[in-house]
Amino acid sequence: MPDTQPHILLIMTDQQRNDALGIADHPVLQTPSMDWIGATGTRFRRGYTESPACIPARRVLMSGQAPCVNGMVGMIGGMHWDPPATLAGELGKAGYETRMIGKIHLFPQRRRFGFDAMELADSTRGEGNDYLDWLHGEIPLNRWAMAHGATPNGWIGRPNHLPEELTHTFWCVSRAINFLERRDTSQPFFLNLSFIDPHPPFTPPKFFFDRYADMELPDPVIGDWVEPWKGPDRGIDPEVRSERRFYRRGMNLDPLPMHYMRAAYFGMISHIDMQLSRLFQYMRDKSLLEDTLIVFVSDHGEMLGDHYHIAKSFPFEASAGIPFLINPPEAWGAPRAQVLDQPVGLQDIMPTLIDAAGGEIPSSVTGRSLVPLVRGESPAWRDALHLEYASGAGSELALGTTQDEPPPAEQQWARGWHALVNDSHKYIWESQTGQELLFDVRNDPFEAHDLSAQSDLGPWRQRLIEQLRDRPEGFTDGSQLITGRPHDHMVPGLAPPNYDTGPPVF
Amino acid sequence: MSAAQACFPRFRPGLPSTLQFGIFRAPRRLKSFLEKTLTRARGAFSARSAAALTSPPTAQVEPPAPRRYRQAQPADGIHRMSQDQSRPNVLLIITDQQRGDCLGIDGHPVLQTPAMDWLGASGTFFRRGYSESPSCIPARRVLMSGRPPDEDGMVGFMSAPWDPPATLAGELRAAGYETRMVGKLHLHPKRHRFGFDVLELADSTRADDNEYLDWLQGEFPLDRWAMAHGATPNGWIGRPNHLPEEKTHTFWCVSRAIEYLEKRDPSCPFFLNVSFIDPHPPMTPPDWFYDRYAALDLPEPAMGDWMEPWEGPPRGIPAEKGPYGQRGPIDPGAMHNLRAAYYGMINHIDMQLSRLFQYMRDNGLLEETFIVFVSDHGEMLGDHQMYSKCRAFDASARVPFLARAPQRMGFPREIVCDQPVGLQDVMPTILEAVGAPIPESVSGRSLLPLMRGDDADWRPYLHGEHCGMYRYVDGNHWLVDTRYKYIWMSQTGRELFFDLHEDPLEERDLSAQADLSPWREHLIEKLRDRPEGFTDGQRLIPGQPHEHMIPTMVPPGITVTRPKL
Repeated sequence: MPDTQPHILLIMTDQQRNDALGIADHPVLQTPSMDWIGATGTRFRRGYTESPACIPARRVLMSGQAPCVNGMVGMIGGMHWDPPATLAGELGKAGYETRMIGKIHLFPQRRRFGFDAMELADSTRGEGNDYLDWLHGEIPLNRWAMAHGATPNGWIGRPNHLPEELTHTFWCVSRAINFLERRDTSQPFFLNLSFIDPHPPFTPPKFFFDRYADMELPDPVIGDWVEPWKGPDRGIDPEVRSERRFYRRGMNLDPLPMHYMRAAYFGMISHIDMQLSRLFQYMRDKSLLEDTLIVFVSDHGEMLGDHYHIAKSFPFEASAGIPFLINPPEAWGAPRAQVLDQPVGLQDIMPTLIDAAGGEIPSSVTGRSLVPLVRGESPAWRDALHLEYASGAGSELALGTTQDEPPPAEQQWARGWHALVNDSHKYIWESQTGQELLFDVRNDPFEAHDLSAQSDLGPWRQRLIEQLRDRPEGFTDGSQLITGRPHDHMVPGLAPPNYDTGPPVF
Repeated sequence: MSAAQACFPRFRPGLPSTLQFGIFRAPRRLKSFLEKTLTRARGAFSARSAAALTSPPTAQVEPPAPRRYRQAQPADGIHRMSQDQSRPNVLLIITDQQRGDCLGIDGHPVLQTPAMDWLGASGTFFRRGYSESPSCIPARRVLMSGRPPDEDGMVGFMSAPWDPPATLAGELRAAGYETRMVGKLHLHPKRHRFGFDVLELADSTRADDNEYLDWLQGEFPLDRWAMAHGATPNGWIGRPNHLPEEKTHTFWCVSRAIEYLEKRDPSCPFFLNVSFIDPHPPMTPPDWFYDRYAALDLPEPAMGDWMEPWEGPPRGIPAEKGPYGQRGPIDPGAMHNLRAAYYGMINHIDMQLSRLFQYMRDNGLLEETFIVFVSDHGEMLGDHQMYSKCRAFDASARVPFLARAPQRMGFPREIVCDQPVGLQDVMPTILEAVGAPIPESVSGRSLLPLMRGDDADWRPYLHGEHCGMYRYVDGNHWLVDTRYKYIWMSQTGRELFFDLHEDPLEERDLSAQADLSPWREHLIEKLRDRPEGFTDGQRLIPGQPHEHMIPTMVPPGITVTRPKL
């Protein structure tokens, strides 16, 4: 094993907002382990997921390619993927033992995408799930893990009915420690530890729920640009399935269920943090911690009721902004407690890790290595990062409720947006309605105030036109942005043969 | 605190201030208890002498008439279900003793019922849904036969054997459905299937011949473990369950329902009746559900301006049925325990329903199933110093009443219906929804027109009654329309009249200022042929002897008993 190659631990959470982090000044949430990762390394305050839903985000991360290059710009389940190069594959070539534990959420299921081995548990339900196989050996009851009744994409918060040691989060860390115990010590390791929490169902172990349920929690933020709520206050589907059609996936809850949702969400993050503390303690005892490059990101955020929305797929900070922390090995002598404002995205993870491992970054990668930034250097950086999301006809996010009943024609392409973020501002263009929003995300991180009316949007529009100039959807003619162009969750021409959306899957 | 101050329920503008939203710090809660005193309960105990009763008559029962059917409804474009695979499955969910106002979309200030709310909001919420004879057995007879109590024969509560001319499950079975009941049926003779292919029977959390207890005692081999919490099966004690959530009757019911759906006959549609015993006492939800509500400021009991003064002792009313007729004051702390436990049980059911719906969604069943949700009756919950049921008041007689059709049947969403409907309407509704004929013995009416938003030609009022149950003098008849309720206490002749829209908790009796004569005439018309002699056709006659069953409709060999009070 070359001395220069650090071990690499890539920790991913699912659906963790960028403000849900102690060192991001959260008023109640406790995340000492995550804080330590950032405080002894670099926190990227402008860290984003380029396409904020599970599968497109994970494709960006695993291929190092922007959404419009890997082809998926919206959420579609089950689509087979054959990327030209993968993060795990390149690290394998560079001499690493590679292991994935937890959620990968890529298809075909069980394809390894370059990992030597996977211990796969994409969720707490479904088939082919190593966590559930283990759990059902412990508790042989039908669908036990979901028996709490909270829904897998909804807003219900409650304590888990299972004890802590039977949860997915606990299982992931147990398996990670098991891997570290039994790995091939002649090689450096690349371990991707990928939690499904704090993705719904919002069901932390009871202690972690109670801890936050007993507190006063921050209220949802409703921006001055948000249309008044028009749906009912009660009767919203706990899975928000039909609301996608009728209320544009909006929601507004009584204060009490809102409180429970938030308490459960914070509790899940707190539980992950404490399990990370368990993992770090193991690594410290085995003298692995100081030799390991640790990266911590989430695949996207969670609106958590802000601006009358839950879940993801929105351009707002709560949905598109993610925790983005890098803790270099001590041998690098890199600065500590560094906070950077350069806009970075999940596409930058793969080149960063390959760079750190001394490998060669494939030409298919669009992201850039963050190693110079982490080392405290000041390389020329991108002026802005492009984010986008599209919902296609027949997709779950296209407001349809069932396959028998497609959404009305005027809603077929009802949602889709592009955004640009630089070190301080975010510009959003709703590609179907033409609505524009501009936020000063440095001083207004919850996007309460839209600045588009009092700002010169010309440079932003021009920059987005540059970004979209070659797109087959025809979002621009080169001189202006064109509203209402049909789009789909795959960029035309980049879908695999026999493209079929199939049933929606999260 | 800021989150809690933000909103109030909007569905019922007339909600009394005592029901407005309060939240939720333990010290405040304890303080509010300390401020309460026992002075509300006054007066010395005075023994009430039971009225002299005549001996119950024995009755002749006519042989059952041959079964006849109403003409099937003409095809109207809503349900084109002549082919087997296009007929919807049917899921009938029954809770036991859930008040009509214990539902989020009814505007409850603290109770969380998102799954039930969704059923109503994506279908029809019947805000004036009633149990015509609000106690377990008569209500279930009405529900399962589609007949009002005065046609079914049982107008009170007794464990008499029953042989109805047609049943909901039997008709669906005849129409080609696989029929399954999970949970509480509470009909006699016990284990009679009343048209179901199979019963997974658990009428309670005690008693013999109970499949839930058989399973539980395999897990915990202790005698009567499920009742070891000490709360009584018809009382007012509230506490967390000593068993973990996954050992409860509610959880068991949903596990059995899911297992049934996993293993059902795939070649025919199903009719599944999931029937919980909660929130019937013992009031013992799993601990988290109890704690959730115990930590809140809860609504105070309603106190009507028409209440009888309490003549019993300030403490000492029994935790189970007994000498005060399910009436009387209890300490504020005990009241808080009772209410927290009651709400917790409903919340627990709701979350298990969410589990069931998620299973159905994952397996493509949710949009293939016609769903009806009702309770068999309500719970006084200390309102007007009363407990349990069998009363004419909304807390006892009004029930959550929700129906949701698969989207492909084309019914609108978010229908809130104020027409008076009852459990007798469930059977014809389901039969019409699946295209099956409705037997002539059924006099309830299909709710499908109301679910389409068409309330023309609906019944002007619904009649309900219950004989004196805990006290003989509590025998009652009542009529309810879209807004008002008229109550006639058949033993005392007392009349009560409530504006349910303005006064949903029935705290203000309007009988002195309202013209009751049209209501009396309706009731005289309704009772004209009753053998008890409640009317001579001109006026209502109070004090006529009455029984749990209409005297001419008692099965042979059955002795009808009367309440002791």
